[in-house]
Amino acid sequence: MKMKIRTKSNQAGYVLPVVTIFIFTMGIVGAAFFSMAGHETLASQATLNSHRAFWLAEGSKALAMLYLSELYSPPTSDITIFNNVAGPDGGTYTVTCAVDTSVVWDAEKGFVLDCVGNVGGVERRVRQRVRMTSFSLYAMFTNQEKTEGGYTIWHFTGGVVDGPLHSNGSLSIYGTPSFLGPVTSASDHMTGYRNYWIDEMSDWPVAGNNPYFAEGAELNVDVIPMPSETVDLKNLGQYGGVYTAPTTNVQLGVRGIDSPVTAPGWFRYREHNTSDDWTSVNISGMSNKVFYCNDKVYLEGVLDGELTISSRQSICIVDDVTYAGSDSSGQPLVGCDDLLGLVAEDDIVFVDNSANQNDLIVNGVLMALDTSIKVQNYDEGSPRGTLTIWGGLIQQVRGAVGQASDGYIIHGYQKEYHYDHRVTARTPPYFPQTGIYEELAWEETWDATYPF
Amino acid sequence: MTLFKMTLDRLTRRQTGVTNSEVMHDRQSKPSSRWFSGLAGQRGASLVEIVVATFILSIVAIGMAEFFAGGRLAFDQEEQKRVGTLLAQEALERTTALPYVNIASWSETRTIANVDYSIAVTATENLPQPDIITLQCDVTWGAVPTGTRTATLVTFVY
Repeated sequence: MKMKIRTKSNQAGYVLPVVTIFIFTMGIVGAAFFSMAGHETLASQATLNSHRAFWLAEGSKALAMLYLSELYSPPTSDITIFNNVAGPDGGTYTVTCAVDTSVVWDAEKGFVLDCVGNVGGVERRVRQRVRMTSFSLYAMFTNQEKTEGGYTIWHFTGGVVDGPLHSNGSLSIYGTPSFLGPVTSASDHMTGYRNYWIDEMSDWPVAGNNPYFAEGAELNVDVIPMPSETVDLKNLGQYGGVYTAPTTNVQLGVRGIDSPVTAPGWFRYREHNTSDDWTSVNISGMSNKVFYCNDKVYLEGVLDGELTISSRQSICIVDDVTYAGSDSSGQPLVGCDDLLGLVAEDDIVFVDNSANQNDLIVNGVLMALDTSIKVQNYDEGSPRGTLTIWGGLIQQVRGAVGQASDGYIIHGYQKEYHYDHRVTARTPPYFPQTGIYEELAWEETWDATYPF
Repeated sequence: MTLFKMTLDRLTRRQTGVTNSEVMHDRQSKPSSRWFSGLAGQRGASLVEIVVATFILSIVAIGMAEFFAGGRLAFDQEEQKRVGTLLAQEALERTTALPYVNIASWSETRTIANVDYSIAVTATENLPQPDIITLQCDVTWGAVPTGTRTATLVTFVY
């Protein structure tokens, strides 16, 4: 018997349509899911590419900083340093360097690096404002922490350095001196009195030696080489400044051929130990505010304005050298716009003469390329009071200014050095620069035309 | 039990030639069978339909389950990639914040959401130029089923 299954004429199955609709719906959901998964893959890859582009831009900034530091002289106009250079892990980078026109003072040498990293079509852009640092930034800078005779110079209890300090040599600490600015040393150690070797700042205090580093201290930083000559300043003196060949006397703040007349904003000069007429110069009329002498310079007076005095040999201070905008103690007053730089290829010497027997005040940033800033006959005669310097001291080795016994000065001067904080924003005209670029401000932007 | 009887009735009627109206009459004469009286106009599903539908549904369900499981895996992998990228970012930030002289290679393992991320920062000095350190951070983690995956970030330090 054959069993026959027939569907009734009015009977319609609903299961298959339902299943079909279900499958169709699931298909749509599946397609959407598939699409989402695809987008998720693209999005995560874009995230990775974005980070890669960012670090490529940051890396290119480092390469650009190196490029700038290796230039013989800073760029004078906008340049493209790298153009679509392939990155180490794919992608490309481009760096342009624009002269920073927002700096107030031309010699600050400010630039804006525009660094763009591009990976897989994702672009990131960072901008870095940089400035070449000047030696005038330092309150104290030494190539070696030694005397000219090679003896160790100690930072003693009571000593205060109230600005940045750098030495290419090793610092020696005796007791509890204070360092109120950042301290850096190219050496791998400091020395505590009684030959305690300190290679980690956490090793302090030791044996009663406990220096105070208000803004920290760092060892093993790069050596900052000091220049050995003043050729650039000589050129600036000859072209647009003032240049003299023989040993010269310079008096600040006065004018006149013979008798001096007080004249803020002026100085006069003539050959040393002669009765020649004086030559008067209005500082504001100099296109390069640099006075250069190919021999020694004997200096005194009151400066009103900005000036750098440089010598092929030594600069001898024969009396107070102060700012018109400073008080009787030598401290620059609020609003003082005077700034003096002294750069000698040899020494800066505080002369042992009648004018300097009872205190001496010097305003300015002093730099002795070879060898030091020192007092003439520091170990002879009666005490001469206090040597007050408002500015900075940059020297090859540390020069002696006096001799003490039982804590009292028996020869020369008692030191009183103060940092002129204005030099963090300004430098004396064309003061020698370190060749190191300082990073000032950083931002990430997508629009290079937008003001920094 | 009743469904079985109903199906059996249908088959029996088809075999014996009893017409639909006769069955209707017979049902009316048996009050005990009133339960079946509503089946006359009912549109039902045959056993074959159900079997076929079940089969198709099973195939589709298994496929969809596989599909969604695979998709979920893809989502997980991309999430892990994001975490790996962020770990690499963090590692480079930590390293570049160090003083230049203290920059050196280092590695560590971090476990996040039950996934072990191996972080390796490699510092190569004087590459590509003197005074430049090339920093490469590789973050690797085990991904199922594709094996080990890596997120790499590279930069330079001066």
